[in-house]
Amino acid sequence: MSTAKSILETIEYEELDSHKFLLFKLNDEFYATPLLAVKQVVENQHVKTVPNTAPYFLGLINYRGQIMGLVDLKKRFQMPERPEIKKTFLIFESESGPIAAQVDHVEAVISIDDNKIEKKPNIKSDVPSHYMIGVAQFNDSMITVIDLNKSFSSEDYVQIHSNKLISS
Amino acid sequence: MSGSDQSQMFRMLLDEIDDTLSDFESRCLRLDTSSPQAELNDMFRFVHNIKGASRIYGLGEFGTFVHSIEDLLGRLRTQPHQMDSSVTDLLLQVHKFLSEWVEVLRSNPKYVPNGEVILAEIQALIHGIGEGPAEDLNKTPEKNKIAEDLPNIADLLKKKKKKEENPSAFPKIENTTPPQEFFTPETTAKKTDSPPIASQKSEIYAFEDDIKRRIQQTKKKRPTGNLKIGSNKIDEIMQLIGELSIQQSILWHHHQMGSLDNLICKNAISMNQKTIKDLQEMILGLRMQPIDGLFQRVERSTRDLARELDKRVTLVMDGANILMDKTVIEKMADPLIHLLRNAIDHGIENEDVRRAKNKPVPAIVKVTATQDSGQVIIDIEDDGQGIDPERILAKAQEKGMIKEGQHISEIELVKMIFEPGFSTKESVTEISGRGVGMDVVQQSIQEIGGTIEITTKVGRGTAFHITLPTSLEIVDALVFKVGESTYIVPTQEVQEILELKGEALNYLASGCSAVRVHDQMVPVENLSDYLDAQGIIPIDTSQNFIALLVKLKDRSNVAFRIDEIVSQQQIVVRPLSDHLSRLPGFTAVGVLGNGEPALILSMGFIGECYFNWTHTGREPRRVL
Repeated sequence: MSTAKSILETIEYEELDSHKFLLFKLNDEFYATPLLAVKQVVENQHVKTVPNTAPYFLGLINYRGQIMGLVDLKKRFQMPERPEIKKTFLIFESESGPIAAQVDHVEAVISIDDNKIEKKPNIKSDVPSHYMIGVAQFNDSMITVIDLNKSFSSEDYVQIHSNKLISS
Repeated sequence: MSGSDQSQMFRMLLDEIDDTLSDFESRCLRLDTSSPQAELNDMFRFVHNIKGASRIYGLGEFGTFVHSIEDLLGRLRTQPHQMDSSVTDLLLQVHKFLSEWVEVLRSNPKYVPNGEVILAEIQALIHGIGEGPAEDLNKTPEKNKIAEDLPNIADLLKKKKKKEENPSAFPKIENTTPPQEFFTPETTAKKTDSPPIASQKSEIYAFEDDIKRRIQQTKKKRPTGNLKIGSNKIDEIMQLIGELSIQQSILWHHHQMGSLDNLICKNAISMNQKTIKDLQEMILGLRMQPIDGLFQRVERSTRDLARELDKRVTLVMDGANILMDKTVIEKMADPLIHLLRNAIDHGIENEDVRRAKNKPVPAIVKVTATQDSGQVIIDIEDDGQGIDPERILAKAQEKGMIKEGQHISEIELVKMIFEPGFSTKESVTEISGRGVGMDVVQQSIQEIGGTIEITTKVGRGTAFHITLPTSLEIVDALVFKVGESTYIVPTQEVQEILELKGEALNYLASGCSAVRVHDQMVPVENLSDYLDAQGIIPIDTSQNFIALLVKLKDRSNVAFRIDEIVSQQQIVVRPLSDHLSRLPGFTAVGVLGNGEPALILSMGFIGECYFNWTHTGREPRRVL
């Protein structure tokens, strides 16, 4: 993991102007996240729910023997669910272990120049600010650029619902 | 070079020093028994290596301190007749001092402790020994060997750093052979007589509240330490991987040809299955280490304590070659040392008492490890005074743990020493006896999936029988359903699976329900209430139900209602990722036969929640 991280760091510095991003959709909106942080894009897997977690934490998946948590990005960003849309999972190797994000559809890999991203725009958004890198114009559409890898590491998924669960 | 590389190197250096210190300690312990010359030579070499390594990394004060020990050992080496047990004690003190120093260095690389007292003792001893015969240290063959060792570390560090070093710091680097001593697989394989327990704390003293604190510390501490692996193991694994790829290419070839349905493919598939199984076994085996390092620590602390209490004890140890998972070994250190301390402090009588009773002096304490079908059994026996059930009874009544007139068998009484807050020793000694001890020991053994039993006979001695899993990877478990979800619970956490008729259920006024099990009223809880699971059927008197009987810490039982038992099987355990490690009540994830993950539930934790909830009478406080 340390090697992967150091590669990431060097590339970030060397190719600062030509970032590659993974473009995906949540409902009708476009989102992009730095490609290098994405380890895998996989089809819908069987999900095992976990009690006492946040509503947007869907549960655990077993991908090739690695067990990881799955976060529903739409629920995280408080967007309405549309069950008819087929789902895709993005797998990240975050600092605190592998974790997957459920998105609607992966569109493409795109390059966005760093200076084309308007950093932390002053707009009201459902996307929590610690996810936000900025917004960018791509072709005719606006893209929200978010950093999933970093924000996943810092999220807290535990949320106690059972009032009988008392710590000693 | 990034800072993390540097700190990693520093950590490796400290690990290496730790390992060497552990070797140093093992030689120390042998000083009293065998002829000291060979041991002293080894120790001198170890100390010299440590000095070299520490100076390279700029641990100047550390190096200087070690240098004075080197001086001392140099003198002793030439005059081994000067050795006596006081010198051994000093050397052991030095070891402890250095181990603690290294431990603090891990978090604070600039740390320098106050070593004046111990240094003064060393100096006094050096002067006491005097110059000795004319033999010059520089001329001994040992010195040349050291000269080889030193540049090896330097080489290694240089290679790691890929950065020019100030050459004057290593005047001996020229004309030496490539690294042989450090980090090469052959040497580490040979070193198995002293495995790396040194990654843990090497300090041995274990006062009871201390032990509790330290057990908690080890939980947090470096769960992923380094493993030393023999190079032959790597070769074997490589060979298996090679076989896998051959089988893979056979299958690929036939797939390209259009058909997999032939004998060659069938063979390849069955071979493939076998190879994967071999590979799995081998990799599990890599985590296995002999427990002699653990024994070494036990021996050390026993020796120290016997001296402190002025009791004469012979420690007989057997089974040091038994292999156990590294994590299990690490977690067993504190409980084992604690049990031995108890045996010597409480069990073994004073010398004159023993003589009066016609018992052998020195007393005998036996520690035996044996392998038994997937388990390791550790027996600890002493021939001391045993535990008197009458005294336990009196104590328990005094503490209100047993009611007046309540009848309890002797076996049950003896088991009470594992209760929290129970201690029979009247006078609190310095070593043990603040009543936090045995319950913590039991708890930490149970945490790693083991059990502890006690048998004792008044006047004859006490024996502890500990069973431990050899590895933490696989547990016997119960798979069950609550609502739609499948959960796993280790079999040993469940006293009994109750299959009960609905009409057996009694409703109590408070809204709780209870059931009669073995002539005891046992409260029944819905496990789903703790798991915020949906879909559980409400308790209905017309329906039968299943519940898991769990023992609470006040020895009463509680039954947790579940929906359905799926199976009882062995489960491969995976740790929870950091994201979920704070999830209350769940210890790990298991993979079921169909590849689906399922959470491993700690019934102990759930039971504790129930206990706190009912016994504190306070409103449920959320974990967050």
